[in-house]
Amino acid sequence: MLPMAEKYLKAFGETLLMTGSACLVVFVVGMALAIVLTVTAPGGLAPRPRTNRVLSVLVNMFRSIPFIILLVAMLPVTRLIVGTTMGTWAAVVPLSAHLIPFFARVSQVALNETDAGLIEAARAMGCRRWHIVRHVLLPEALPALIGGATVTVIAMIGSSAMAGAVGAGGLGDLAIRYGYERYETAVMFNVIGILVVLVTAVQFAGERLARRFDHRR
Amino acid sequence: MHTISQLPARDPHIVFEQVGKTYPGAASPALADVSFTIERGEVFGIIGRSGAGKSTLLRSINMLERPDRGHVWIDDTDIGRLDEQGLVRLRRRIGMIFQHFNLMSAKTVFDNVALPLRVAGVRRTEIEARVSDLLATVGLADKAQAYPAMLSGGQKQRVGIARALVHRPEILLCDEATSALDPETTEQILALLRGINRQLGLTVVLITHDMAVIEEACDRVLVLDNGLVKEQGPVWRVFATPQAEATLSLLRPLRKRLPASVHPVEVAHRVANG
Repeated sequence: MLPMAEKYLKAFGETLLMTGSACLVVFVVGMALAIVLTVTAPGGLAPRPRTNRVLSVLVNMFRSIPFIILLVAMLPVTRLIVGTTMGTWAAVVPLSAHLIPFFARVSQVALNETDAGLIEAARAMGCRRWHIVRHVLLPEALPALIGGATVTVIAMIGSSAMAGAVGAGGLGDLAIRYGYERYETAVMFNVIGILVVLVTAVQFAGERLARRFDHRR
Repeated sequence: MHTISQLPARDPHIVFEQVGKTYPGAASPALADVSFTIERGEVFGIIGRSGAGKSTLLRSINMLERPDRGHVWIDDTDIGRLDEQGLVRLRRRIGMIFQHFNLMSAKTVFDNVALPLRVAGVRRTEIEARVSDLLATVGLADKAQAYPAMLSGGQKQRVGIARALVHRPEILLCDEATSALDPETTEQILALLRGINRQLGLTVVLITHDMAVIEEACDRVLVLDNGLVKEQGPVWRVFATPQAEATLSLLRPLRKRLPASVHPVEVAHRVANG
């Protein structure tokens, strides 16, 4: 058995690994999805109402499934992608699937906030649609996108607690096993303390970063 | 001896031919059968109340709005027939400035002005030179690294003008470009536009609801009301002998600046009333 301090360290590392890699997947795929949702919307840069509706329904479906159910339901997909259904890496797949739709929606709202006058100005100067996404939508929405990413990271830290169910470990798992199931309340409170610090740090960093890219005032 | 018929030879630049546009669900057309010609190198004003169709008319020149009837010609091109590629190329020959400036808040003044060139794939060194040059022209050389939020309204519009001119257009469209500015700044911006028009010889088309802007900046004016051309001609003539009711009501705010005995509105009313 590992001494307790090492258990915390190991759990902390697992949480970082899990949320970090899942966040990377979520940011890339979710952002792409958000751009497609924004651009294909009625009145968007390249309206495709049917594609838009299908994607939108899909996003809503995934968002309605409770994470713990998704975790189990996705086991075959997880095995296909990472080759196993157990361990830290196995949790990355359902975590990503759970938060891609969330981040996509948050980003879509941010992109939709773009002043229509800026898009018109871009079209008038001879921008193609991709230029408008690249030079207008994304940079103008950047502060809001960073805000959305911050919320997503924090939601991810929360969801990762349940990943213990597939043996992924992590801080949440430690709190449940020792604190809850073995009545070692101290462990539970320590873990909660670590999580509070982690979440606060993410929130603080996110806000600073967003402010750094906000030139509207 | 010079008479009106001996004005310089006409050189049509932009021609509207029976242009019409009705927005889906709208009861009446935004533009109903509009025909007129804009000469090369002139400052052409389009005036009308809000909802008269000015905005749609102006945007038909760079196809930000597509008319659903008639033709818009720029030189020998029927621009309604251009494909996406052709439109992008056309828009790079036309600059546009806006009432609310529409500058990218996330980009510096320099990057705002450089954007049209960047997306057109112009070389970095070339961009540097042209942007610096234009910022000097509009008097903002020292603001290159500032963000739009740090500028006054007049300065923002100068950035807008620099951005509109950076790809050396032959046409400049002004969408209520001074409506959000105070009178003094308005005068400066209009003087700048006139200067640019003379120096570069580009055709300027501006829309406004303010007759004072027409008086200050334009060679010729067109009065638009309910999507119809009510009157057009040289500014001096339209001001001196307004014919249409729409023109008279637009001229009314100017009356306080002229003695009643010589004011066109008063004179016209007296003529109308015998």
